[in-house]
Amino acid sequence: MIYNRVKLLRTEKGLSRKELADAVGVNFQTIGYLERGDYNASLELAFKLADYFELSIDMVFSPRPFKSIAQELADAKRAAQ
Amino acid sequence: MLAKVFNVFETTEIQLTPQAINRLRFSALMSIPAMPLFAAAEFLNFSESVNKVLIALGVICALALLYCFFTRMANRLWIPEKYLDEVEIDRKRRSASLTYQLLVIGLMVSLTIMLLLTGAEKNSATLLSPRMFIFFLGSLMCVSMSVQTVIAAWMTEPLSHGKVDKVASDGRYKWVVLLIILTVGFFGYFIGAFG
Repeated sequence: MIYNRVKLLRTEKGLSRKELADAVGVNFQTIGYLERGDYNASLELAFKLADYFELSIDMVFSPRPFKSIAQELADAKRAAQ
Repeated sequence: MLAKVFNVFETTEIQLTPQAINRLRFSALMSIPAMPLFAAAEFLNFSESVNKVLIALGVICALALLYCFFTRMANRLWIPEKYLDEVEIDRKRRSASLTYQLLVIGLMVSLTIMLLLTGAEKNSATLLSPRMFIFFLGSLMCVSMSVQTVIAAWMTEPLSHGKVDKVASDGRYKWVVLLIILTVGFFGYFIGAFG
């Protein structure tokens, strides 16, 4: 199982599934199944998505569950102190 | 050019609602016995009234088959892979391999039964007539298409939940389907009337 942040990143950019799908050249259902965790993206699609969001691939996809945003912020705050 | 044609049949949100998927599953299941019913009416020696019932049921199942073949999701199963995206390719391959396995098992079982019957009745000439063989191949093709559609429909999880954007419905698709029906109908009429 590969976890991803596609839904979070997409909603943050205010995009619909269709808009994101068109931007990376897939059908909207692929984005839908990817967001729901029903499908693991190919390496090519993973790179396309990471490029689109201008992030490194490990920030979008991970073999372990991502921390919640609240947890990430708390960790960042703790690290800064 | 072909990419533009195939894009007309692209799956949209409307085809991925639970209702649309259930409708496709039901009609694909219903379409499986279409050709076997016609074959039974044609080749088994039933009475006239039973034959009429079999043909009537066969026509209903054939209509379900027609409906299946005009749905976008079923169309995506016959489109070359280079025009599909990765989820569709995955669905197409998985449904095709499972269909192949099921058909090989079904074929083996039916051939065994047929051989047992012909062996018992010493009537192999009737059972293996060229006409019956052609009918058998046609049935196999239709059943395999139906079975693959059933499997693909069962593999597909609904994405939308009823409320979908009207823009998602592409009007061109209906015109293409109408054009196909009219073209096939015209040739059917032409062949029937003058053939």
